Amino acid sequence: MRRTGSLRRSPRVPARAAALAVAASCATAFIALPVVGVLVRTPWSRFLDDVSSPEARSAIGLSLATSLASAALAVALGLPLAWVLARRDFPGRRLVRAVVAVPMVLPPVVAGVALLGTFGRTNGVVGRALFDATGVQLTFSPLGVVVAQCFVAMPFFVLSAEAGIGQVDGRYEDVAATLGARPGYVARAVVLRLAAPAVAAGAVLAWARALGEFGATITFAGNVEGRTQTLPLAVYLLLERNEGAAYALSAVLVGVAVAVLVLLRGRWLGVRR
Amino acid sequence: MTLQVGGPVVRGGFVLDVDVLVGARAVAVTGDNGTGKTTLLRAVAGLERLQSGRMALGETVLDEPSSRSFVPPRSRGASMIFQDALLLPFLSALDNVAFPLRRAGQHAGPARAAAAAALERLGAGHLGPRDPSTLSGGEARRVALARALVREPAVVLLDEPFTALDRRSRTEFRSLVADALRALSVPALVVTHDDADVEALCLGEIRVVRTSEGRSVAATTVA
Repeated sequence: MRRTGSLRRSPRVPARAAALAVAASCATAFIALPVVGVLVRTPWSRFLDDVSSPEARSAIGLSLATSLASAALAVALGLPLAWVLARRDFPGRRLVRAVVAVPMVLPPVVAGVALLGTFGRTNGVVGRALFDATGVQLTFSPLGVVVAQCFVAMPFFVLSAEAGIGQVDGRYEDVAATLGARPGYVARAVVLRLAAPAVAAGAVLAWARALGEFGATITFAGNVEGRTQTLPLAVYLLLERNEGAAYALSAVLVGVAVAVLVLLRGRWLGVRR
Repeated sequence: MTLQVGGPVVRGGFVLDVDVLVGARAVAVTGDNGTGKTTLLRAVAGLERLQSGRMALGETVLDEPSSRSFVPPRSRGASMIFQDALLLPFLSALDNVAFPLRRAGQHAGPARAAAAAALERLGAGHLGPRDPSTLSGGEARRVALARALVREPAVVLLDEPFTALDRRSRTEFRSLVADALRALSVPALVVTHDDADVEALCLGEIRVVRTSEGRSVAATTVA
């Protein structure tokens, strides 16, 4: 940063530099102010009561359980896919990659509608078959929350893991293979090991996305306290009845977001570990 | 022990016709860039397959499509040395050297002891506990050489092993490699552009020549 500073500044046009600084400050403030605002408006004296009310506790517990399950599912399903995208050349690979990224740009409500059409008990093809065969109903159940969260979160994991696996120098695999390592060992203990930072970052990103999921969850899984009412849903409902509690729970999520950024700092904030 | 390769290696639209015979000595692999010198080494290592023909090391058939014989890279005992040391960054220098022995099923204790001895023979015993990222280029090459030699390879494949080194460590590393190859007395292929390398290491030459669009020939020219 320091070294390139002299190149970035253009001392001959101070007016332009000042305008640039103002514009950059505006953008930063636009993002920082509301986040700081949550912390300012949180009634800290009541904070412990607000986050330990039965409703809050059940929302926090449900959110933790479902988001961790979603992240685990995204890793379990997404890792083979990331591997294939990074390491195999097959016709339609770009199409598959584009399809996988769809949930990232799809409005979450639409994701929920799409999930209803597939996994819903009455009008979803897969959902009806699943219910008839096993009696398992995804809608209005914590399982449905996991399905909704995983749907929107998995692309974050797949794309990050794919990039990490794709960046591993293939010659490490050659070296390990010639030195006696079996293909499975090479994949696990060499390639995945070298790609571990990106794979872990993808898992954390997917978890954070799952934790914050609102639109697909409420559309597909509904809003049943104790079963599908996750933290973001609780925050939204509390805003009308108990604004202080809504801010307190929001502050919890801000804290999680900051923690995620600290975890990933080496990857997105330009600090090398 | 003689390495004998005869047959084409095909990669996409590229064809390398190989017809070489290498005794228990180091042979230079020369030729312009892009002719397929590395492809020849990869085929010997088992990282590429012959499309037809036969590759054998002594009595052992390594690759013969007509009889569906193919020995996978892990079982060939072919040690490769690249332009970069390519030490596994999550293992210490010592554990990098012990890697081939561990993969061959040795327990950690004896493998480490043998690895330490292999480093010692190259005057690099003190590097054992170091993290690869803290090693200089010359030091990392020595560790990589120890890793390639620790399990007594059947073939040694060196792909421009000295190119990325500065003049001083280059001379030093070259004489280490020369001594090691002499002591081993197995077939060794050395890809190089440098006559000094050929003089110091090699007793024969394989020239790889591009003949026409997408076709190369690798043949022993000086035996």
